[in-house]
Amino acid sequence: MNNFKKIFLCLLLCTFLFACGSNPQEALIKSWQVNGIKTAIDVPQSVKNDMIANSKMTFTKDGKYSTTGGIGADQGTYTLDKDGKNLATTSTAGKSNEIYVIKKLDKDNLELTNKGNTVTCIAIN
Amino acid sequence: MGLFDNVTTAVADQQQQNDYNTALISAGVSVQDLRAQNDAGILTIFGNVTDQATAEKAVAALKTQPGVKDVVNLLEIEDLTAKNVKMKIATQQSNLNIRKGPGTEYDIVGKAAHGTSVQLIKRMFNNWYYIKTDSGIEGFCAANFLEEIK
Repeated sequence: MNNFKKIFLCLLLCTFLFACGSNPQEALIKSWQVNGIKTAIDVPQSVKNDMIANSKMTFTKDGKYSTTGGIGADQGTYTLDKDGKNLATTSTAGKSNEIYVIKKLDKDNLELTNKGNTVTCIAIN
Repeated sequence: MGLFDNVTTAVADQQQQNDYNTALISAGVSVQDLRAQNDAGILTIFGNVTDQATAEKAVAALKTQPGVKDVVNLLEIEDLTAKNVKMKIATQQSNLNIRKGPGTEYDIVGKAAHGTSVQLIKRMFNNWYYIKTDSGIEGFCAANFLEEIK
């Protein structure tokens, strides 16, 4: 019984540590450099390159985001769902809302999809 | 607005461009490198056509598209930039009006003095040219007010 308790506590601790290490909110909070765009329909590569150029997204701990560069300049607030699968934004400009599906999020990579278009990013800091 | 609003806009623009191309193909019209900008229902079209009849068919086909109230036709037949062709303003006495588009219905953007030379940049669909004057004004003028420099 004693051994069972130890194993159980060990498993609980491991689960807790694993959960802490992969906290989506923590992984998201940083600046991201856009490095790829996949669009719902074919768009000329030159147009995509213009949008990728110097494009960054930044998410801060206080729930705010900002974007700059070819993807568009915007700022507002964001919320991440508890599973880290969906990211909701409210833009300061016009208070418009969008929901992005998070296809990938770890400490180095972020991949977001919205309206059939996917943007991939790599972590800056 | 959102995280990548320009991507969404670019895709919507491309979709519209594809729809315009489909409309032209359905009408049996071929426009090379078609580019269309819809600004509040006024569709400005750029691209290359072989002749005036093709350009007019293209305009007629695009006028039927949803969200298009009118079409500004800036289709061209030939890009002459590399040829560096110069011609002389051949008005009787007066200055020649340089316009914003290839037709007298467009606003005047400047004037070129009688006898001065201009560089031909594009030959438009309707016997007008897109030109650049010696003083740097760029715009459109009718071919019948230009003559070869001898």
